[in-house]
Amino acid sequence: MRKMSSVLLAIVLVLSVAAMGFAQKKPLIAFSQCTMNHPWRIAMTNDVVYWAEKLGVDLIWNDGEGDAAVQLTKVRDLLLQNPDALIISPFQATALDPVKQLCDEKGIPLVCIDRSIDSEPGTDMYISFIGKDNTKISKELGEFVAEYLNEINGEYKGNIVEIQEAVGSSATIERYNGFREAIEQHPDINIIATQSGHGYRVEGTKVMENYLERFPKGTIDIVYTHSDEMGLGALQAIKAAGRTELIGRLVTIDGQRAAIKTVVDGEHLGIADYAPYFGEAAIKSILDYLEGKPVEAVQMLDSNLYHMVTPEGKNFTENYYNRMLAEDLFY
Amino acid sequence: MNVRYVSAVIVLFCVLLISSNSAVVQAVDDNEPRTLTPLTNFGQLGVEDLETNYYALIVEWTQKSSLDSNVYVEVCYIDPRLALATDVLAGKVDEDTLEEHIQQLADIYASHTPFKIKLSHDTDAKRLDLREWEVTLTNDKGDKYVLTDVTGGNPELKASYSRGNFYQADYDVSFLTSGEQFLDSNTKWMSLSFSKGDNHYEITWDFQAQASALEMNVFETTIKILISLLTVLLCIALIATRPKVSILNERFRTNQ
Repeated sequence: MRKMSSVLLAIVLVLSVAAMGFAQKKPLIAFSQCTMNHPWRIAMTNDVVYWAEKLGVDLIWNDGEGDAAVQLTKVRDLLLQNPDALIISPFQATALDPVKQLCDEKGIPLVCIDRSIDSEPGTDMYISFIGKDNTKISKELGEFVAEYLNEINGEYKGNIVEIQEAVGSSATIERYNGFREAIEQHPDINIIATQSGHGYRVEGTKVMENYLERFPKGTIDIVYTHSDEMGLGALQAIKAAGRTELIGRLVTIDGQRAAIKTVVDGEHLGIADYAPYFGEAAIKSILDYLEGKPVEAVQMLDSNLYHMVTPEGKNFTENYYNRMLAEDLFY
Repeated sequence: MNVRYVSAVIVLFCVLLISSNSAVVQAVDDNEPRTLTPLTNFGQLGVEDLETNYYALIVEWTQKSSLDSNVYVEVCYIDPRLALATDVLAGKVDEDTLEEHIQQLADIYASHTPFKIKLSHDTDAKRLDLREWEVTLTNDKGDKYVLTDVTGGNPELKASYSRGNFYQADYDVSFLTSGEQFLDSNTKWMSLSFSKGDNHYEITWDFQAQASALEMNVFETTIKILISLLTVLLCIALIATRPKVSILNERFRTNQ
């Protein structure tokens, strides 16, 4: 009888310990970043890492090295570890679309951040796309530019040169189209040149140098770049060429601290905010999904416009810049 | 000959004048002093621009340092403007209660000097106990108070651009300053020291340095203006004493 009790007690103990271990197992989330060769991407990865630790999940991640084929291969590596969910920021929409099929086959929930893939979010295992509305943001920036040109020229008139993000990404297409939606309302405002700077500062400088050679003083009114990094590169080219008429005529998207400083200093006309902070929303969505709660298929995060043109804009921008200094924020 | 002489003097005069004036402008731009002046007269405390200045006040009054082995400290003196801005942002003050609120602040600062102290470490949340340190507030007049009033301190995971992820404990602290306002308009500096065993670290807010910078700037500007004036006078003297054309012609004829 005593032996029987001991065996039962041992079984109960073993089961309890096993249950405790099972209950304490943290979800494992995999994250595929398309490239780490850009401060915006580094800040995004840091944010995902931060929220993983903050929300108590284990995270594995790797870098797609700015190449869709490499990223797809690295996604396969991540899926081999059987994560509970996959977060991806795809390099290109079409080339990374097979990721959905891989997740469907393995039953792994998929969340896309910043950029989507071709498949529709909310179908099968592609549970959510979390981004900012690039079309809306760039349209608002276009409207801001049109109003600014009207203010300085007395009419909606002027020439714009554009430097695009990486060719083929959903962000590039949306930032290209959204800006034009606003500009095309004014027939005398023309986008006289557009070229890709591939998202990098050095490329932004090269493209701008080319524009400055092609278009003499007085023929460019606004420089629009799809990202701050390329904008800061373009600003370098403008300063090096002594084209002072273009200082304070640059508009960009993103909102990194160095660029916000140039707005405060009057070298940059305006920035539409597209900060890379998706980690909280992505991981919370996955945790909700794993708990059986509903998750919105498309989640659009808020955005701001930083400029010094109006007193309200000046106050808002200066205050935000000081907050970045106080809290040591990069975006 | 005479025309060339006068032209040369005028050109020299213009060059010197422009260069000295641009030097003055340059000096003013480069040395523009950041005025770090504690608010000590509560009659001057209003809500204008406080909401938008909130983070500017934090940046202005915050100092950072490292304590022993990878523990970092960030200290913000809660200037009355910052205290009011915080309350305005929190919705604790409106136009109806502003006057009463300012009076309450004046009463508090008459016997308390508040700071926010943040201790942080990259990985170890257990090393962030402020109570392990003796924190002392001093000023140039020799007033000295040891910290006893400490609240908060629950370590939290934080993230920042330059440090990535780290743990931070935020403390609201207040020095009980024997019923008198610690800072007045004559205070030259105040200092906060952290001591534990043999380790001693000090953070100083030097109000005098700002005043000195301002005085130095005024001195440099004055000297540059004086140099400009002397140059002008020299040029005028040279023009006034130049040989007359008739005398030069006479000498020329005599030589021939």
